[in-house]
Amino acid sequence: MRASPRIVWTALTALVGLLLLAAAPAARANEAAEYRLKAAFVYNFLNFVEWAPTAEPVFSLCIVGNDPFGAEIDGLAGKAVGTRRIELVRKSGTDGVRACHAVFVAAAPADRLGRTLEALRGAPVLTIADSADAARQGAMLGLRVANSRIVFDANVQAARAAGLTISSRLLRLASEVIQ
Amino acid sequence: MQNVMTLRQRAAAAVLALVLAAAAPASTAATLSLDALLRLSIEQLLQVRVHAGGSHAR
Repeated sequence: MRASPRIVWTALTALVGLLLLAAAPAARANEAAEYRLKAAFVYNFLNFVEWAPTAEPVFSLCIVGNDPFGAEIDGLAGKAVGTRRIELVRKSGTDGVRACHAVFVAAAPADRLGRTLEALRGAPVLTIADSADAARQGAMLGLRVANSRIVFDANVQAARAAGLTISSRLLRLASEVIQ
Repeated sequence: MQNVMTLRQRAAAAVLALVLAAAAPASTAATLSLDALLRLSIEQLLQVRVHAGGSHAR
């Protein structure tokens, strides 16, 4: 007895659907792990920058636009940056970004980084972005994945223009440094 | 009793070593909590794999 093509097609479709359903949680877990690792990089970056002396008790770390971290970055709240403690601030747009001390801009949408950098022009705010050519676009530090590991690029020119100094130890570890 | 491994036994041992090495890859972010990652130096963070398996870039 031979199964009809329709039955075979239905069975194949169901099988593909089941495989996709099984793969979705794994993909989400991978993304969560990637952003947990990126959160650790962000915290390290904050401590490799020379900040102007201040009596402020709070260090505002802002996430602009879509938040790719979710809860993975929440553990940074209250951690020390010099004498200050991190406060996480999630912003849907660029309003008020100049009050942040560091800003993380997610990869999507593509035009978000340019608009955020424009809003921050001249302000001593560390800009960290999450797209392949972020540092070339003007972010001070850009995170990307290469060979299953996180690497970063640095734009010293952008940092200098904002009056910030990135530690030479960090720059030595960067994949690309834009002078 | 002969102590010298035969060629077949040596091949089996080599295959087993390869399988064990594949089953226990370098640290991956998936196996480390944020607290554990924050205890690593930036040099060590650069060595952590985003996840086990093949490589990709973006």
